[in-house]
Amino acid sequence: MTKRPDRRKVSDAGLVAFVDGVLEGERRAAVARIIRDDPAVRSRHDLLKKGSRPFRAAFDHLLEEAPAERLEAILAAAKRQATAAPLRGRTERSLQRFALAASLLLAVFAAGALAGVQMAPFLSGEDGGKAPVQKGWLYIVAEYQQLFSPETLSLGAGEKERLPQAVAAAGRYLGKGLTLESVTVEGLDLRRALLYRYKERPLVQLAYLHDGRIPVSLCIIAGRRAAREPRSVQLEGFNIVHWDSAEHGFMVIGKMPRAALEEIARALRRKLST
Amino acid sequence: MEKDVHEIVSSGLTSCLPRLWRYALVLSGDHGSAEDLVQATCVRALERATQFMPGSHLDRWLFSILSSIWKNELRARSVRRGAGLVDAETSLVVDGEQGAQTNILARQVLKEVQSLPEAQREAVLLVYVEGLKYREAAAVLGVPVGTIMSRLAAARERLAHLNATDDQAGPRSKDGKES
Repeated sequence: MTKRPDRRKVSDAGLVAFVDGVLEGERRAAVARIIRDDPAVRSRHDLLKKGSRPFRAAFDHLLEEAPAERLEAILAAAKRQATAAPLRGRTERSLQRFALAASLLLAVFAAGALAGVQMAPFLSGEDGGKAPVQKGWLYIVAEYQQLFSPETLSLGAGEKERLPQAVAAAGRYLGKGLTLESVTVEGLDLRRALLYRYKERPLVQLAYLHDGRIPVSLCIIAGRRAAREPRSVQLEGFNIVHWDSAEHGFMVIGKMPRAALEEIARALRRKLST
Repeated sequence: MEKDVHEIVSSGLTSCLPRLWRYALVLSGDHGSAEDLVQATCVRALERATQFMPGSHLDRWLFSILSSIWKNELRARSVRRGAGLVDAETSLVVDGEQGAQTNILARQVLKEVQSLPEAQREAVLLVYVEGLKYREAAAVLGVPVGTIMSRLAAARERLAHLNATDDQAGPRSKDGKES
């Protein structure tokens, strides 16, 4: 009497182990027999095998494209942070800041990555211009700004050339025409274009270095609101200038003297309104 | 001794950076988040260096930290992937045009893997790309070995169906653990 193969002993997980070549000896031979004798198991085996790909080779290509210089800078910054903050408390605060920043994050590094994005700007208007929303996004951007340093804003190979495309993509995301020219003023060197969402609203952060050493950001959030003239506030040790148009909120943030930041904000506002 | 361990972690981090970045990119799906995740991982590893056991695999310890930070502190804070905002094809490829020119197949594989659910593409990365054994990947992620195998099976099934709709691409080369 021929013993019938027991399919229950060859689950998909077991078949994966077989396909991956990790079964040996009698166990492998037994599974091979079941695959041979049981059409249903053979069908599953063939399907799972069809899911093979040259994974390692493909992902090694990605490895070659790692932004080596930026990663070195990130590690250097992490080492400084770790040695400068031996007490757990500071670390936890740092991570909390990071987590808080991430709470608004649905980011795409906009090096041309948004060509296929279809996302209408959020235009609820239900809370447009109200203080809590305004305070919320100012505060959370200030938290995130803490993460920037000259090292983390260094440019990798080819990134500068992609910035015009990234800025244009950011404009499409916001529903506002943006060009590199429209977001460039004297003294600010654009380094990154980052896209986020905050409370269902598209939010863009254009990160610059001022004089090659001070991180400064222009942030724009979509959403109908009452137009307001620029005002200056301080949050988290940053000076901030913020204003609203009928369709967008704007802020310029940096750890630099208030008067200097206000001058930058005036220049950016002129550019953005033309 | 404590100083030695710190030095091991500190110096070992450098050589692991590209692979940490790749893992972070696979998880987060975008470059900005990947860099933030790498930075948080470096800080955490340096601060907890005394917990690293000399002689064990530093890369796997770092993978575990990275995965934990992503799941417990970042992704959970409403980082909403899968809403159609992140284009799989471009989010994983740093220089799409160059990638397309140098290896169309690699680009296609990256795109397909990135279309998988997070848990599946993470298992694919650890086992099929990083070469971890099932039990090692399970230890990194803190899940049972069977979960890793089930995730790989699910990933393979989805990829097979993608293959079925894309057979005009011709036969695919095999690698890794293919028998």
